[in-house]
Amino acid sequence: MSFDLELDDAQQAIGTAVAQFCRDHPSVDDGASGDFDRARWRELAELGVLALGTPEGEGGALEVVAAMEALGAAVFAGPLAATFCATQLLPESERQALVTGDALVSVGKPPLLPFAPIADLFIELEAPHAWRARPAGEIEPVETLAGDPWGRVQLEREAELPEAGRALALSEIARAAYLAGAGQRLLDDAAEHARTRIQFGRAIGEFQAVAHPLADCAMQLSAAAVLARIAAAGFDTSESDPGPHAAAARLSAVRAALGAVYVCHQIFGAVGVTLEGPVFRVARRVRQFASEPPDEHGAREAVLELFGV
Amino acid sequence: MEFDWSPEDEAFRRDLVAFLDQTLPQDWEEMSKQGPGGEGQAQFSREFAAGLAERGWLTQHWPVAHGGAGASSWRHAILGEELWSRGEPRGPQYMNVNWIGPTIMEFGSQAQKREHLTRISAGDVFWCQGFSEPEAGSDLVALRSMARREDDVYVVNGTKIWTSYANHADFCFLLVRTDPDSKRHRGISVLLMPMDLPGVEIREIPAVVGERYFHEVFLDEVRVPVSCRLGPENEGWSVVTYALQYERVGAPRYARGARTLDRLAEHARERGLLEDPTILEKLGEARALCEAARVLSYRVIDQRAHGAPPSADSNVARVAGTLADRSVGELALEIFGADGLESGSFADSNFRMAMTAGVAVGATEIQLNLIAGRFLGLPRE
Repeated sequence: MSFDLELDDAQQAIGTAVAQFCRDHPSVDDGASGDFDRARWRELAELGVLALGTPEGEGGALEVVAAMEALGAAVFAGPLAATFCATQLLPESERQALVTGDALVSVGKPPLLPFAPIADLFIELEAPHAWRARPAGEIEPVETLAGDPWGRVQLEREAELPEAGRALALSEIARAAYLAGAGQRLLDDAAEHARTRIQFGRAIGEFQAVAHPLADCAMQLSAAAVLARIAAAGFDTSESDPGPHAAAARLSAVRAALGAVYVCHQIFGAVGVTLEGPVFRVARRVRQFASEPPDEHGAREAVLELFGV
Repeated sequence: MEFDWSPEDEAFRRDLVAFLDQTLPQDWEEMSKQGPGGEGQAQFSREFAAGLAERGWLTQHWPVAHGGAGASSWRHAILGEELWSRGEPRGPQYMNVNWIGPTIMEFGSQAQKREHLTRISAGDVFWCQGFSEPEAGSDLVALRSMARREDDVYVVNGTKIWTSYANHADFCFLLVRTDPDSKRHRGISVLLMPMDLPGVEIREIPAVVGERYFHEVFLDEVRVPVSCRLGPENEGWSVVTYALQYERVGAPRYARGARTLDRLAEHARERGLLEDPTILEKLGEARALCEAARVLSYRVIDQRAHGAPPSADSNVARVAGTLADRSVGELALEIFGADGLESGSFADSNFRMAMTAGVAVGATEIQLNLIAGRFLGLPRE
């Protein structure tokens, strides 16, 4: 037993490649409603990102974390955590289309389902159980805070999927890494603003009222990122239930990222309230990732298991 | 010490609520989602505020000489609570009665009082606030908009930003530098500028809240008559500080928060969430924050009712209101879960509102600085 909290070279290379991909394929995220960019999703799949954690793909949860931190920093849109959940749940024949990006999956609890109008596969979630399902009726389109195409529809369960707990744990780890990455991105932008925005004759970052909340965010985001990595390492190596650590990572990342949203709104002032400014496009996706199913109640209970409660 | 509404005040609140039930249109809920500056809401406010004026309610706390009824500040607080909790059917005109009118009353010439107070108390005029500039946000006295005197006009050049309601406004409560060699608080004047003067250009800045919430206002060689100046030349800063004390407690957002919480509790019950102790605790905490904001606002109103000068209590009330707003917005999303992500939903619009709370009417950090300095005597950083 020893400690190593750093990602190894190969894992870091995944993060670097995904970050580069995101720079080369910037999203048109102007705060208005956006149609989902399927071509870009397929190209992400071509990088092998959506196959991570599957027997056909490379690596496991730590590789997922490396990719998701970078995707979060770029606030990449799409059913990311849901795809990592589904590729764990579905047999190879069915997950193939998800791994190549040809099919999209909606994972959630009806009636409101993420990406329902454009999804090809549906998984109903009632933690710790999951079912393959199909829409039972017309899907009513719903536009979300982040401008993604969601929908309302009831589902018909087809078959219960095995090992749902483990699949959910990976999606929670993925979500935590994404949120830690997105929060860090906001924090970096806000710190840059605090270094360069001059008021009262000096950079606003010289005021402790500005500096301390930013430092506080840095601490919380670091904790969340490390927790996501620890949960991922446990997922990859341990025989024990990865759920509690994954839940701790999710709860920690949600708090840290939402905290960063509020702090960065304050640091940017009115600029942060504009649709096209630097805060909202990240903030709205943080808010969305933080609120996606499953809700936090299960995670809170799962964390208690760490204490044997 | 007394803490209760008089029977007359309670009767007024009942009459007002009945009037609202009767007057607000069927689609009011939808209309008011866009905020006071929304097109529908602003247009409706002309009719609505005029209706309040007809009943003598719009400016009842003003002296009779200025179109009021000499009622106490508490009456005006009741009006604010009931209107704000319904999404402010006065539209942008809430600003007029809250702080623009009182400031003109304090500093205006006879002609200015006659012109502006009459229109404000009749409920058919829109104002906007020309304070912030690109380089003068929290540091308001860094403002650079310049007014050059030429005989009986000021020729104004500059840019104002984050100006709410500029698209509707008939007048702008404008801060400019009238002494080109001045620095900081000195050399600033207030102009009551008609918005239809040549050289005034407005551009919308799309915002995450409301419809047409933010604007930039470009001023290019705008010729404003000297008679539009409010208060002495170069001594506008005292006018502004007076106005700000009124502005900070002008909008009783806590009343809206409390009403939102009632609805959230109902939703939580429907969703079976009231069995979750964390939800119960958060509902209780948010309610306590709204109550704190309410009584701290009441302290400011009480001081006004006793004729005391404005104090840092208005900053305290403002910060308390921000904390309340934020906790209500967060709880709305927690209770609605993923459903709260639906764009334009109840939870979504509350969350967006909460995002602006710590920035509007002076950033929280600035309010805390003022409290630390004026209340606690702490030295400046």
